[in-house]
Amino acid sequence: MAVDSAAGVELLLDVGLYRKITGSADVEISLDGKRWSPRQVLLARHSPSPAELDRALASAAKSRYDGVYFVVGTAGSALREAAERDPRVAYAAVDRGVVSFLGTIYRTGGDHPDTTARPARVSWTRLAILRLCALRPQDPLTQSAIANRIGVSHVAVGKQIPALGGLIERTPGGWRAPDRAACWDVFMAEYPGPQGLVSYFAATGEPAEQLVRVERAVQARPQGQLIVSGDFAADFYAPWRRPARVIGYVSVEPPVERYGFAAVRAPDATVELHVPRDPTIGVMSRAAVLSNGDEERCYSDPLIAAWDLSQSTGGDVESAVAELKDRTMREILWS
Amino acid sequence: MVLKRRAELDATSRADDLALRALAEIVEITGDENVRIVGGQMVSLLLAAFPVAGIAARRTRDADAAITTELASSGVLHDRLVARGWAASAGNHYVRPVPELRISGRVAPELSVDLLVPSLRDQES
Repeated sequence: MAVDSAAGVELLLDVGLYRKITGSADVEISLDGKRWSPRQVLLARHSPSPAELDRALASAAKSRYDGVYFVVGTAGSALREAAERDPRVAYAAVDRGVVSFLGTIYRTGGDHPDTTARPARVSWTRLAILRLCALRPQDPLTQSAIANRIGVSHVAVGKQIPALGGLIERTPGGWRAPDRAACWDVFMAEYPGPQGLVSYFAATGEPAEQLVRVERAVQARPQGQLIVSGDFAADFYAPWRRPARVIGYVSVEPPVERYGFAAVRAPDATVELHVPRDPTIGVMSRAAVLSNGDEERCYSDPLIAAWDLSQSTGGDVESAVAELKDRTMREILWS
Repeated sequence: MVLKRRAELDATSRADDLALRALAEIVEITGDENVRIVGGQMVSLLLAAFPVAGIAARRTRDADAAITTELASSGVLHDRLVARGWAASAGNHYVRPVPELRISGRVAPELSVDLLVPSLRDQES
């Protein structure tokens, strides 16, 4: 099983520490919930060497961080010793369920599965082009138009087009996908998830009412925006099943505790908030109103919604994803 | 023994809205026939009438109605559904668009119902 940053940050709660997610690779850690230490989260394939530790600390010192928070499968001797003597070094050893923070070791009670840290390189541009091709039945797009719609440079698009093989083809008017359903299938098979950090919350009450409370919490911050995905986005694009869990994307974790939510482990959550590493989710999201008089709500694009939906539980997941795919192929759900 | 319960269900999503409209219509259309609501709608209704702690009702947009082979072969329900604006889209699957739930610029969402008939294959073999 692969370790990801989110697992290491989640471990902070398991060992009894406090944490606030402030970016896709930023977390604040506290012993008492009052004094916070901002840390850069670094996922490492191998436990870092002394030289790698020095470089990481030097890089973190250039920003507002107090230090670094390594997420590794197993901590090597260099990392353990550095964390003992240098308060700027903290780590999560996910395999052992161990966190070292300010020179102290914290352990979870339960077993943790053997895992391997795999910070694989992901081309968000390639995956966004696949989404765009699956979503647009209209005219072909030039390289610049593709870049504009997914929020990257046309040079980045140019680099990724050869990697798409026969999924898109050049026409006199630009690039087009001869088989949009194939683009959908490849995206769903290859998308590694939004990565970044995720926090889980639970509250009582109808999921729809919980969504409204989360929106209020997000909007309480300046420029705060919630991008709704998963069940609720699917309900907007292609209603099929009753939404059971709120899944959303934010740039900074909102103070949802003030709105009646409690931080919980993933299986118990009714709300899942991601601070994604994938930069194309925000660019490709769209604001819409359900009906006259409703407030505007921002939704992830149908493929991100479908991917989140596919990760949810329930016997009707496959049919809900199939319904969303079918509607996407038949109608213009996104432009 | 027949137990009766009265329960209120709130539609809190578009899927809910479509599911409950489909349920209401199919009950109205088949009320005088030997028809049973089955599948997800049945589970949802049972959980509303007899709540179980820790189990949340999951509903999908479609309604499943179990009918007898005699009723199926009579064509009565087909005629009633068609008269109410439903269309047979595949086999015993019927749909009806709901323009009042249409989002601007989109195709209207559909109510859907499957009329399920017991299989006779096991008795024949």
